[in-house]
Amino acid sequence: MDFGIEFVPRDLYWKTTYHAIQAEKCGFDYLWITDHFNNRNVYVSLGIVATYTDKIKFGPGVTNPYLAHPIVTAQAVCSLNEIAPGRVVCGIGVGDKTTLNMVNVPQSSPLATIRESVKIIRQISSGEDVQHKGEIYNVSGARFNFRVRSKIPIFIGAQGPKMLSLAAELGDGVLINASHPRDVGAAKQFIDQGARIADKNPSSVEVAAYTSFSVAEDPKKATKAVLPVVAYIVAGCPEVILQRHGISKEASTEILDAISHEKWKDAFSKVTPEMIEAFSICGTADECIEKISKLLQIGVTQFVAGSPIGPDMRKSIALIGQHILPKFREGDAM
Amino acid sequence: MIDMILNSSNADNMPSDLAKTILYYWQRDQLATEVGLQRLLEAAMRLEPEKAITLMEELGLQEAVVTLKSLTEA
Repeated sequence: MDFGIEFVPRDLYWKTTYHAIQAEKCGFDYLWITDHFNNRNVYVSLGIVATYTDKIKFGPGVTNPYLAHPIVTAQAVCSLNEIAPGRVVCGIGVGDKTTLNMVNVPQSSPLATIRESVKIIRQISSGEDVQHKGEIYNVSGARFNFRVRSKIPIFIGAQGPKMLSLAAELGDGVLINASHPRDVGAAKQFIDQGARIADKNPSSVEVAAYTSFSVAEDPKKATKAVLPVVAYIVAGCPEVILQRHGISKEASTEILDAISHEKWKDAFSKVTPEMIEAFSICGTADECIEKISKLLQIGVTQFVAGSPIGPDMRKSIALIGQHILPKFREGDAM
Repeated sequence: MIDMILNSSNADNMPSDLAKTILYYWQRDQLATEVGLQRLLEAAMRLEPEKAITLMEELGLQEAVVTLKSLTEA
């Protein structure tokens, strides 16, 4: 199993980069940087990561084709690939509705948009002239004035059945926002379906569980750090997923209501242990190892430790590096 | 010292060139060398001078304390 880590470039660039270097030294395989307009630019952040790391793979996790034309995304990842050949991956998805709504950009025709975006990115990054006349994009004769040194794997962020299937059909990997085996298991059937549509062996498609993660020596501190993230997840969660975990729509609506009125303490107080169990992986290192093992057993090939990582970023990354990663490298955790 | 810098509420005061130098040394496992520690101490003094001096006192580095105090008083 590969291990990835997510950073949100909400913090000063040098802090994010410090932790990126730390993650590489701890043995992480992948580093994903989120892309929201209200945080630091994803490619500026990745450029610094490219410069100050030596072997960790990295990429946007995930960019979206609504704020950036796929040609520009291809340009960015291919340019990064020149700084760090063979280390760049491209994570793309429909993006975050909340921030897109702030700039009045709708997530229209998501399946067609992702399909055509991935096609354009693959074509131009392989050195081809792009001739594409589609439902969403119209590109004629576009090519780079520079050579792209190596193939850039594309991971597609997906949630619903159709996007999961499409992601497996088109992508080298699928990024699923999920922390619980039930959700990953439910997604896996659509991933396998999509792989078969493309005549791919389902095991050739990387399955990355993009989790809400928090580890600390004190499990209470780990839980406290993850509460806000779980609150947001529950507030925006589709009913079918809530039902899968025995969580009522009413409970979700109560949290959403509190968040929309900026009653943070109220919102976080409504997060139950069941919600934390369903939508995060948190606790001590040993507790996290047990939960990660279950994801490995159902076919996850990359475990992504997503926000918040823990109550203290540096200490939590160190814990992962010292106690969690070695267990999976040795095969002890299986 | 690293935690002091990372967790400082004055982190905005870190000069970018100093930050990049520290990252350079961190990337190359040289933060614990003399030059690496000098840069870390410089950063700590910029962001948290009182805490940095207290740390030097706790480590028994009296000469460093005297020097640092004179710099802050200058």
